[in-house]
Amino acid sequence: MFFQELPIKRIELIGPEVYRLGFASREMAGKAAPGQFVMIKPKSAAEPLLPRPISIHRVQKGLIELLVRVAGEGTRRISEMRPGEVLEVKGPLGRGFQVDPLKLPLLVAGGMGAAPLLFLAEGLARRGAGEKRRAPILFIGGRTKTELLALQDFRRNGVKVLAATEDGSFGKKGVVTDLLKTYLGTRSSAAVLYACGPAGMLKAVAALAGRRGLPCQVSLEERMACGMGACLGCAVARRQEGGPDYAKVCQDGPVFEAGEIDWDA
Amino acid sequence: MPKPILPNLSVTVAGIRMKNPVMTASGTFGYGQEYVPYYDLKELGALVTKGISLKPMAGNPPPRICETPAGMLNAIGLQNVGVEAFLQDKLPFLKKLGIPIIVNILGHSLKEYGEVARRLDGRPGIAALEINISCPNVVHGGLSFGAYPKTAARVVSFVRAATQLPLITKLTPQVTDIGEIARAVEAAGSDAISLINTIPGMAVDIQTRRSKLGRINGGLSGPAIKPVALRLVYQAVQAVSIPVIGLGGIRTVEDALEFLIVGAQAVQIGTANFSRPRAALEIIQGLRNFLIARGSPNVKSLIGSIRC
Repeated sequence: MFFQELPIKRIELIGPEVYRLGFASREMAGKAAPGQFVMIKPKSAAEPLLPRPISIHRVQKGLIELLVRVAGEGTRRISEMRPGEVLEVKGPLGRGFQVDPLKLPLLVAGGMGAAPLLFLAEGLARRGAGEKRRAPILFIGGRTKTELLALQDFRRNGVKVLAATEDGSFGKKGVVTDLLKTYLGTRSSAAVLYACGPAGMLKAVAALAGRRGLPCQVSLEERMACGMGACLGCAVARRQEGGPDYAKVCQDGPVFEAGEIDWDA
Repeated sequence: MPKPILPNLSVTVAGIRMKNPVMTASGTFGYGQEYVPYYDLKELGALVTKGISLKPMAGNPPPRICETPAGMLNAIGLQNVGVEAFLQDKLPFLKKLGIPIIVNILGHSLKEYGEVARRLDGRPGIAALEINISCPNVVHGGLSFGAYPKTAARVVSFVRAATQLPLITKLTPQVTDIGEIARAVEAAGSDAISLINTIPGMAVDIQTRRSKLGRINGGLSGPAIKPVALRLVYQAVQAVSIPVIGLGGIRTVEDALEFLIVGAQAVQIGTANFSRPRAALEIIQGLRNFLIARGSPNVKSLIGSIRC
């Protein structure tokens, strides 16, 4: 884990209020694993006071890229930064995806959930080089076409893309979990699910995986102040007999086995 | 040019000798280990642990934090590993640092406060206890003790009877007269006081019309509370003869200097650790540079130097 002050190399709008932002850190790039995140904030700013947790989208030659969606004042300030302006960056943080090389990877993304899954897809593509592996499948959903992020990047990494939009503007009309349900209904091969998206989607994916007996890893999101296990702000309830047991999203996650989580808490 | 003589930053608070007056604030520094990747913790004046209770506590349901203008609200709910796991799993690491380790303690009853203190008494590696009589988050917790001079003093007396360790009592800002509470805990045997704990506050999501926290309210910290903290520290210094440790929204060395000037013998760094993990270290370095720049050989020349 590092704490560095890094100038923004590039920042561009790629979707509705979604920015792709890149900075160079050889140290962080060398350590980062798919599913991990960084904490970022504009340097020396009192507003926002706290850094924001953002998952790592892509790592290329020492350049780390993130997708930042404007969700409030803090992310708005970050989105308004320009190349050359300096970010405080802490990372890479947390426990990422644990890849099972023997099973067909099924990636499930809702909205911004595509961000960490691209980093995972790149890792899977490298792993598969020179071997006969079945292409990973991405199930991706959003309200409308422009919310489906980085589709070309997934395809470039040999990922087969199945999309759904709620308004029917791209792919199948409906939600991503319906796509997944249909797919799982017709196949029965050894697969593993890697999912990231809104809490409701993750709950539905976890339930689906549970019914099919498929291993499923979910990347969770929670408000956090430090990202390093000190503030205990980012609690998620674990399935536990006799009273609550909270895990730290920042350290025990953000990627969890779906079965660990108490989805009804 | 001759090298400037390094100023003496050391202070002694409640018998605890510290190489500089900068400590970490309870609840913002975990059990120390969390910060190891970021700097050498041996540089700290002292380290204050997360609050420890007799039994482990699970904490509050999420969301537990939210940012507010120049501050943050937290409703962590005193989540901690409990005193036995602390002694077994956390203290061995802290002991090895060789800096004063101050264990923050809390209880749901006078008996629990006493029992936690008794179990920590005589354990090598613990320099002092900081008594949390003021945490606003848990229904049965601190506020009811810390809000009144009589109950605050009773907690201190109970803990005093249970341990030989120096006692620092951490005060809540939610009182009518801070001097009265400060004098009460001094009379009950506290060796020092620290203030302020967070200020109870609230934030509402206007779309859902629910609290932004899993609990209705939380504790406000960060730069927003600094002026309030500074005034209360100033008043407490006037009220008692035991040392006062100042905290509340300290983010920069200038903030720390203000607290020292109004009479705090030491300061604690809290919320600032979250955004800049080396915040305490940066403030120590800033303090040294400030003294060098003014040609002042000793930090003690600043403490209580306010001109009225």
